[in-house]
Order: sequence, then C-alpha cells, then structure tokens
Amino acid sequence: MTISANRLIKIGFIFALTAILFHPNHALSQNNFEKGLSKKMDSLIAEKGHVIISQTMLPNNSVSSIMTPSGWGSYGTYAFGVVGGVYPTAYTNEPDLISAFGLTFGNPSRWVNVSASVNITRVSELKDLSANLVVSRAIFESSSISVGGLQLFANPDVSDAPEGTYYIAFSHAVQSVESKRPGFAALGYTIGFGTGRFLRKSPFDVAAGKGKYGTGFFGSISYEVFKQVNINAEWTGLNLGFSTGFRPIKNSNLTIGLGVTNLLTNYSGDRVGVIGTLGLPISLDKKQFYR
Amino acid sequence: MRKILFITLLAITALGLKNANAQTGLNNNSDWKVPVPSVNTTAPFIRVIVPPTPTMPPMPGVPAVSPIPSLPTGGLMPGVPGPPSIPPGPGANTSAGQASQNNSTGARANSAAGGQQSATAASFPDTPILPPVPPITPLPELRFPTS
Repeated sequence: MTISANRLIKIGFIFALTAILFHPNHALSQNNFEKGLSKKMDSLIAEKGHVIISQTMLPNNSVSSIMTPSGWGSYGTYAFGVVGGVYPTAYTNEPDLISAFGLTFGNPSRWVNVSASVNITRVSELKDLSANLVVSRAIFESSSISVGGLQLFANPDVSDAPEGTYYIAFSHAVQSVESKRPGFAALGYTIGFGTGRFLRKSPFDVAAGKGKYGTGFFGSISYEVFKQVNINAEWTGLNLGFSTGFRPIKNSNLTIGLGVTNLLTNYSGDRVGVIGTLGLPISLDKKQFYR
Repeated sequence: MRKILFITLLAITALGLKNANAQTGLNNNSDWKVPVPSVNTTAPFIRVIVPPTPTMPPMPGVPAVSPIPSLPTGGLMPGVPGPPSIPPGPGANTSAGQASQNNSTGARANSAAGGQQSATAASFPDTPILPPVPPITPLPELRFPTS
C-alpha cells in the first residue's frame, strides 16, 4: 500500500497537534499575560504574612516606643521573644536587662487580642520571673486601646520592684500621613495612664528630693523618616526619652529599637541611659485574611 | 534556619552577660527602669486599603440629578393639569371651515399640510365588494386513511 506525501503531511500535522494539546506547558501564548497578572493581583496572595482588609491604615511596623506600651494589639497568633536593656541603670554604672517570651492571639477588630508573656528580669541568672497580661481592642477608626498589667506576680524576695504595673493606653494612627509602605500610617501616637513603673519614682529619687511620684501619664509619638525607620519621642511618666526603631532584615519580623532615656535628670534619675530592644514575633497560624 | 541562628545567638548573648542583672540596682526600682517587654506584632501584615466609593464628579453638559421632591403636606400628589385646549383652525369662524371640520380627516390633512382651506368636500370611492369565495372541493386522494 502506498501513501501519498500529502496524506503523510496531514497525518503528521494531526499527531503534532495532538502532542501539543497534551502538553499545554509548551503553549507559550498566555505566558506574558499570566506573568503580568501574577505581578499585580496574584502578588498579593503570594506575599508572606497575613492580609488585613479595611478602610483605614495601621501604624507602620517598626518600633514606635521602647519605654512605654502601645494601644495596638496584634492580629493572629504569635509566639514572641523580646530582650531589652539599659546602660547604665539610674544611680549605678551597670547595665540591666529584661527578657520576655510569650504568646499573643485574637483579632482585635472583631473581638480582642490577648498577649500573655513571662519576664525574666535577672537575665544572667534566669530568675526574677514575672508575668505580663495585656488585652487590646481596636476602636473607632484607626485607633486602639489596650489594658493590661506588666511585671505582675514578681517575687518580693528577688525583685527590687515587686509591685505590678497596671495601665491603659490609647493609640491612634494618623490617616493623613502615609507610610513608605503602602497601607500603613507614618505618624502615630499613644497616650495612657499607669501605676507602678509609670508613677513611682526610685527611692534614690526620693532621697535626692525629686519627689515620690511621677505623672503616671505616659505618651509617645512616632514618625517614619525612612522606609520602616521611625524616630520616637516618649514620656515615660518619670522622664523623657528619644529613640529610633527599624527592621534590619527584609522580609523578617525582627525589630530593633535604640534610644536614650532619663534626659531630664532634675525630675528623676541621675544620668542619661542608653536603651535598646530586640524583638521577634513568629506567626503560628497559616495565612489569613482579617477584616 | 535564620530564626534558629537568631535564637541561638540570643541565648548565648543572654547567658554571657554576667553583669546585667537587677541586683546591681537593688532597692532602686531597677526592674522598672528597663524597656517595656512587648514586641510590635503588626509587622507581618500586608495592608489592603479598600477606599469608600467616591461620589461621581459632575460631568460637563449633564445636569446634576436633583433630589426627589417630597410630597406636599398631606401626602397627596399635586393635581395633573389638563391638556391644553385645541385652538380653532384658521377658518373656524367661516361656514366653510366648520363644514371642513365636520367633514372628514382628509380635510384636516389638507389643513395640517398648510394649504389654503378649500370649501370642497372630500369624496372617497366606494369600497369594492368581492364576490364570495367558492368552497374548495374535497380531494379524496389527499385524505388520511381512516383506521
């Protein structure tokens, strides 16, 4: 049986067509379109981290205060660790550290966010334990409050400040000042009132005639000068401080804060101290969308 | 891997700082002189701002839509004015004009066309009457077979 060349060409064409249909990976006609689409809408899905959909901006994601708490809570479940220090501590020439490890969970927009952690205040000896418990809730537009206790249940035989600190704080992200990172606000502030560390001065302050109590009111204001780099001013209830906060590693949640405190030595303390903090939250849940 | 490295370095650093403890400031409230043990956890988020729907700007040449007027007191709609009265034709006062108005639409058509109103009456031809249709004779060969 003889097959004409024309028929051979037709059969070959059908075979080639069938092979292409069964291997769509080689169908390149849509690739440019799909790549463009991936760079836009799909990039949002592909990016790491949770997504919050709302009509307002949160504060930016760097450290906004070191010596005072914030009214903002987190979205989702995280394990976190933080180490903070000051050098020198007031009325000494020595540094002092504190570390904390804990868990935070909840959606503060719909319910509340709860943050519970354990402090190790004598870091080198791994003792002088105490607890923190903070509840946060988003209110109004782009604002949040937090109520909590810091350094609770400290052992009076070990700690030199066993009294717990209770506070309430209100934070707001200014919507008219946008961060370099889209969707975040560059300017934010916090005001609050607390007992303990925000109210009571050191016995050395009392002995020096600087009074027994501070204002109890604390506050901070933070502004993003560069992308993810903040400058902060804060009143701790006892003294004034300035700091900066930044995130040194791209796509990492590691945050670093550096600054100075006790600038008004006539009011409390006897010398200016350098402060620093290092924190790392680790997400424990899968990618989620929050509203 | 990066996280494990960080935690390891953090632990080594913490354990290596022998001089950093609260006892150096005993009775100094030194436990309160350290940074607040909290961490910023808004960091891992991607923020999507959904702006509210903007109001449509006024388009040139298109009048703005006015709000729906409220009903007058009592909830009654205002009365609809009646249709305007048809003005009399140009020759309404003449007898010829009256005759043309009373006559037929053909005369009105002439008047509407703008022509001079004439006194002649329109006449139409009689409707032709068709002869009756003869019945169709049945064709036995086209009938359906009866069962």
